[in-house]
Amino acid sequence: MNWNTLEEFAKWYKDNGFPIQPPFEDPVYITNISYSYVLFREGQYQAELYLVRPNVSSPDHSHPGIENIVMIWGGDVSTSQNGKFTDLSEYYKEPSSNGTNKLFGMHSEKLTDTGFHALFAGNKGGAFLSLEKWPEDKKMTSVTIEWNGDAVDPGHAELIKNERQ
Amino acid sequence: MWNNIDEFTSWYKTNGYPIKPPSKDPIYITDHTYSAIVFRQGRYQAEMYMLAPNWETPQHGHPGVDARIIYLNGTLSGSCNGEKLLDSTPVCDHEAADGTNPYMGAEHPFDGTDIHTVWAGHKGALVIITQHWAEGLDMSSQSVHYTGEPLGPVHAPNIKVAKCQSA
Repeated sequence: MNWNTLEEFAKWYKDNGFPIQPPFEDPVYITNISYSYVLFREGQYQAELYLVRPNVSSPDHSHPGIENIVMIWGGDVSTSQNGKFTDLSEYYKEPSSNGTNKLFGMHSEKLTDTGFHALFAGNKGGAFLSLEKWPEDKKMTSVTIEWNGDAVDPGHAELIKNERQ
Repeated sequence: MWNNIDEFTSWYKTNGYPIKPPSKDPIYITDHTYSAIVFRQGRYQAEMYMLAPNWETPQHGHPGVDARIIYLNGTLSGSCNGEKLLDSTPVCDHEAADGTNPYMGAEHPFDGTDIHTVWAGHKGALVIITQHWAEGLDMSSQSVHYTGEPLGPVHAPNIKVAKCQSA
């Protein structure tokens, strides 16, 4: 496929029912607050699914060189961008008419690496896709690895250090 | 729509693993797994599990829940009623032509009376487990509806074995 932008890829991925075709070489990526897996990768684009533990938050961080769109599947997550908190809890009080989360399939604006963002998970934790466009000079792994900012935990810091070597 | 777990599993795979997560369920966590219900209709559901590397479950069961574990990626094996299952480790260095794991889509049956283990190797693993829950069971996660030794202190307090309503 030829996508010209991350937004095109995000639309294609959703419109095609979230294709699952995990790249062989990638393991599960783990921190103290999340597990993630790359579900799909083609060219410089990939879809990474994050499952987040309930009642946790991430430090402010960015992903150098990577364009990023967050698309919600479930749970009750809110976000902050450049220090501004966006409370999404109102959307999680009732399900949509088909039983899914009201924000299922909804996505953020594109996050660039010039600002910082953070994640806040409520009682249900969170399931969301990180839809990503990577630069050609970087080995594609996970935004858990391509991370600028305080690490989530010492194990995460070690993972970043080891994977970048 | 489906008469049994095999019909549902075949439909689910043939239709490209449809994603429609029920709003009410949280992310289910244990000491070595995170999972989410990604599809539920009637008594059938599909639960996606991410497994950490290098651990093995104790012998356990999920009474009243017939399941098919669909392998997607990683290093995975286990046993069912004492017999060893497919082990993906030997093919870990050989990717398929489309860039996925050669075993992607392979499945193994676990019936509601089976006692089994799951083992994850050095890459951890990604699986989807299709499930049929007997009438009367409160549908949640296999990590909640679980009999056997817990995976660890994170898992233990989350276990709530549902009971079938008596006739």
